[in-house]
Amino acid sequence: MHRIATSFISLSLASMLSFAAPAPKVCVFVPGVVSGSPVYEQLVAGARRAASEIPGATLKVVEGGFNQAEWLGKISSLAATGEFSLIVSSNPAIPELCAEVAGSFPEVRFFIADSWLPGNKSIHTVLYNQLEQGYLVGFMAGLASSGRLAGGAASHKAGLIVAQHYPSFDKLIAPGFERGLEAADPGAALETRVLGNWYDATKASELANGLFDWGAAAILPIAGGAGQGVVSAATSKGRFVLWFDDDSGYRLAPGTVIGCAVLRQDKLVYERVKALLAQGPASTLYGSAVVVGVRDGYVDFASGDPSYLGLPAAARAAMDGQVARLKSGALVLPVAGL
Amino acid sequence: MSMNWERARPRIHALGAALLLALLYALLASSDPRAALSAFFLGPFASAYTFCALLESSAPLLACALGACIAFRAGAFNLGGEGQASVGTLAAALVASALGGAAGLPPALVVAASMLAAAAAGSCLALLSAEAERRTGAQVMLTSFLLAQAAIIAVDWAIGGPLRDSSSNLLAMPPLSEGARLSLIAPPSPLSLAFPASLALAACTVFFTKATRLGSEIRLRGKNPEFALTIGLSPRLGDLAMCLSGGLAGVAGSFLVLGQAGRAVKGMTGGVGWNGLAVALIAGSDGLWALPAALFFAWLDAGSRQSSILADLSPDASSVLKAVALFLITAKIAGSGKPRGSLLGGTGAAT
Amino acid sequence: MELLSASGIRKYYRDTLTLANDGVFLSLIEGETRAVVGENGAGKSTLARVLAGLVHQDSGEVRVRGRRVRPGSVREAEAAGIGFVPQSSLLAEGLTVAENLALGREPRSLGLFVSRRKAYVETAMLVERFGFRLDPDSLVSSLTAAERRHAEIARALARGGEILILDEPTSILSESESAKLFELLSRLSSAGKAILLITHRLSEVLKIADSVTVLRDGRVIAEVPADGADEAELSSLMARGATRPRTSALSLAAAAGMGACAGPPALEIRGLRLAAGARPINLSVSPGEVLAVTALAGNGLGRLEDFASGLRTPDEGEVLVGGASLSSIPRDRLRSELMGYAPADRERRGLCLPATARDNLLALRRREFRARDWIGGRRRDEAAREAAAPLSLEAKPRQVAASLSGGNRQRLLLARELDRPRAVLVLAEPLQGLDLATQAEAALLIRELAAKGSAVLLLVSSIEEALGSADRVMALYRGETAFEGANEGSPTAASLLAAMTGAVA
Repeated sequence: MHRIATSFISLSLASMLSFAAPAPKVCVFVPGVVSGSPVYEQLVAGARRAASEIPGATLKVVEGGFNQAEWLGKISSLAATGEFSLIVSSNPAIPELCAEVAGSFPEVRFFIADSWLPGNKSIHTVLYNQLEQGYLVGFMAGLASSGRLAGGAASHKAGLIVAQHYPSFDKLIAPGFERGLEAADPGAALETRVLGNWYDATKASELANGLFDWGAAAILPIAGGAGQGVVSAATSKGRFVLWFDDDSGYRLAPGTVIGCAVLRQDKLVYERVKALLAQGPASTLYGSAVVVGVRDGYVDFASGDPSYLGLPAAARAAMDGQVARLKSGALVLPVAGL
Repeated sequence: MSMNWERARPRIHALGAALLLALLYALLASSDPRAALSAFFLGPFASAYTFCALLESSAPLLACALGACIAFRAGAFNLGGEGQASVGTLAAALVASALGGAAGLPPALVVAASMLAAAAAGSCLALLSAEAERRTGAQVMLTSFLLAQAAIIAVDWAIGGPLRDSSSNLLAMPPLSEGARLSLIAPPSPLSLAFPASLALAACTVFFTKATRLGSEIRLRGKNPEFALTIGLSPRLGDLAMCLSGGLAGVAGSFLVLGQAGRAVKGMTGGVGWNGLAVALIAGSDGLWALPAALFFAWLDAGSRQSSILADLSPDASSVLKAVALFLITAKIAGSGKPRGSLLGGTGAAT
Repeated sequence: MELLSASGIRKYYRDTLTLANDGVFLSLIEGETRAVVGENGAGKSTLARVLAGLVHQDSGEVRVRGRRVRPGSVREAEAAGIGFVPQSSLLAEGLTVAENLALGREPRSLGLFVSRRKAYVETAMLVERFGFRLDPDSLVSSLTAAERRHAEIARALARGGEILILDEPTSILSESESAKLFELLSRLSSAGKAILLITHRLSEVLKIADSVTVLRDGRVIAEVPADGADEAELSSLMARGATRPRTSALSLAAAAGMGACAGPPALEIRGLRLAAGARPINLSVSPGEVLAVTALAGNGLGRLEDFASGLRTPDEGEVLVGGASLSSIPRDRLRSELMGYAPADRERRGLCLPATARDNLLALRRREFRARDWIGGRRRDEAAREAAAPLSLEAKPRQVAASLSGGNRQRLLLARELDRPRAVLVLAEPLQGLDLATQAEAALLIRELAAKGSAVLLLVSSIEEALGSADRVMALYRGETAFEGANEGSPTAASLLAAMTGAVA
């Protein structure tokens, strides 16, 4: 009896305390600028929606700019204000900076999407299974290179253009793409070109032309704004482009961009931020790093666009089959971190 | 020193005007002007952390500004501070990571060696310009700028390429070990020994230019290079000034690497060399005035950062305000009808 | 008819604590040439600059044809017809003469485009009318000092100048060039222009002026007609005290140094080619000896100065000091110990104008001071005062050199270079800009240093100065030696001039 009474009192005290706890203040740190970046637009939208559903929660968006050398100082200042209980961000480079800041400001919590850092009590990270994401567009590229799309002869070649080498590309995206390509067009050759920056569309166009001249049937650019140059090169050559992270590619050049492997970043951020706010700073999610993929609904292939629907039915059936296998768990591409 | 007050007045007016503009901007651009204003003006002093961060960020700025002061005093227009600081970051990171790994070396020695290496790297880059001018007549103003741009590209390439930490998603070299960094004075704030070191550099610079024969010779050369040759001063005096100037910018680079960041990151200098030039212009190339001018710039930076966090102002406000302050000061001094030298070197009477 | 009148002009310079003008009055009638004379620092230049609107007087007014001119306004002074020809050229180097004349009032075609042709025609007409020695199309940077003077005067006329104010117009001209300038001025005067000539060369005054205003300590001491005035009378009016030597500067100095020494040369020049295709020259100066080298402008005197001072290293031939090649001696040691050098280009090369008088005076003695002295400066002030004394330089140690008058600048330069008997003294135009009394002091000082063992190389364009002070004389013509010999009555002014102009071999 005594025990029950004590636990009841302590429970009600705890609920009172949590009731009396100050309304959570969330800060979204955007490593870059929001405008023009679908991934960051989704980051902000998801966090905003979550905050709006928690009574009293407020949200502040701070843009960190493109100079990554300044990010550490900016995140530190955010933490040092003491205003924010949760700092939300998205980018593989952010966790290591947050880990440094967390050491000095143990009361602040961090949630970083699109990244991987297990074991830090203040930080929760979620990594997209970009092996699967790469696999989806790689398979699509294989359909093109094996000549199964209208107007394309079988060249058995595909290309990748990347702004720069970075771990998620080298360890996930590129291997995933290669596996997808192999699955659709066994023995097809893959060439990768490095652009050197995220904005030079002219140079990207030159690199793409080189790959197309070599025989690539389709190219996946991972090059930010420079991807536009790849699209224009493909349009003039009558070849294909694959798109990453969001489905805006379809609208860039209908008929040229034939497949988009998308991330549901808004959904992920909304769900996680809401859960973290509801559970408070003691949430067991902090300290953990999680991988999410097609099966969880955070990585997907955008199959509703006319550009895709206009492709030959046989090709679409093969593609949809791959997506279904990933969703059902029949096909598993495990990722154990970054 | 009524002379100094004469020189200070237009500068203080211009700084005041810049602050007034900040006030106006906050009133117009913010939906909550009170919060924006208090964040901008008082934010940097609101907590020990923000104040310490302000001091720390003034250190590399001051070092670059001192370098620019010495060069201007010698009549050498070293516009390459940004690049000299950039090679400084690379040199400091390389030496600190090489020595930091070696067992048994005292941390102070590792840090000192890294700073010296940074100074040497900055000096060498600046000396190339001076050497080019003496040999081919190519103007330092031009060559220092061009060399700096090339150096920045090379350093960025090295940090983002062959020297990059492959386990990191940042374009950065591997983090330095704790012993190879400048000690923090007031953790968790980023305030490190870089700040007192920059004060010591300022004191040395002022002593050198005002209280030594070499310093006075450098100033004579700056006022009239032909006269300097006539009275037998070495034509290498300009080299010396460039060497010191580049060295100070290099040390600024080492402050960045060995301070809060603790590693060399691509694009790390972030305009510290250019801002250093502006600070030196505002200070009239006087090391004494460089300190308040650098703190003023650091304050504008910290204020606009605070107001972007706590209110809804753009973090880029500070660059606009700095440009306005610089413009007002140069316009005011250039328009005051004083001799041409006063913008850079003050009037000669202050010797 | 009275063209210009000034009355009660007062100007006090706060930064140098000098009362430069103290109630100065002046008037000029059409066609009159008036000279304003006075010692260095008497206030001549200030007066000229007040009239030209360059300096805002504290009180007093300037009237042109009875109408008051707004003080301190160059624009109004120009509009009223006052043309000012400053001591040092203000022409734009990269432009032609015609373009310089058109500057600021460019003739336009269709009211829009600057017309080079119109500018040329206007200049050509001006040149024709008054007989200037000028080609409107030549670049200013290619002009000689004399031609620049002409261009400056032409510019003043082109801007509608009725009243010409010339500040020391002959200070850097040779004798023949001065004579030509005076011819021009008298043509202008007979065309009705009023001319105000600021000078301290009394011989010139008596040649050309109708009337003379004598300034002393910022006040008008006398106004006399030039007819009947004599040099001695004027110079005694100008003199501030009775203590200065009044004897002719040059003869006194020469007397002190008679009987030059022999011995191995301290300065020797061998096989030095001054101009392409010219025969190389040789010269040597022994300790105690004064060698004067003279030449008309453009005949190699300037190059000789560059080589003898070591600022340029000759491609052909060599310069030896004490038997050692000049290029092998460290510059710092050469200048602080071995060679005194007063450049002809005092403003750019000889002085650091933005620096203080003290820094200029002690520029060769930097090693004497320690950190304490550089900070506090009292010991340097003392040293500067001591250094200034022998030439009665009136400057405060911390006064900016740019604020000194032309004469005081020259004293500053000489005070530094003549402070001790160095082995070699290279003195180019050492007496330029000095008033008579100071010329005498300086010449005496040079003689004393020679007597103490210095070898003196004088580079002067004035024959008078060359003959007046040297043991030996050398004349250059087109970079070659046209005459060389002892100064013992045989080379007269006429024969030297003949050599300098190539009339005799």
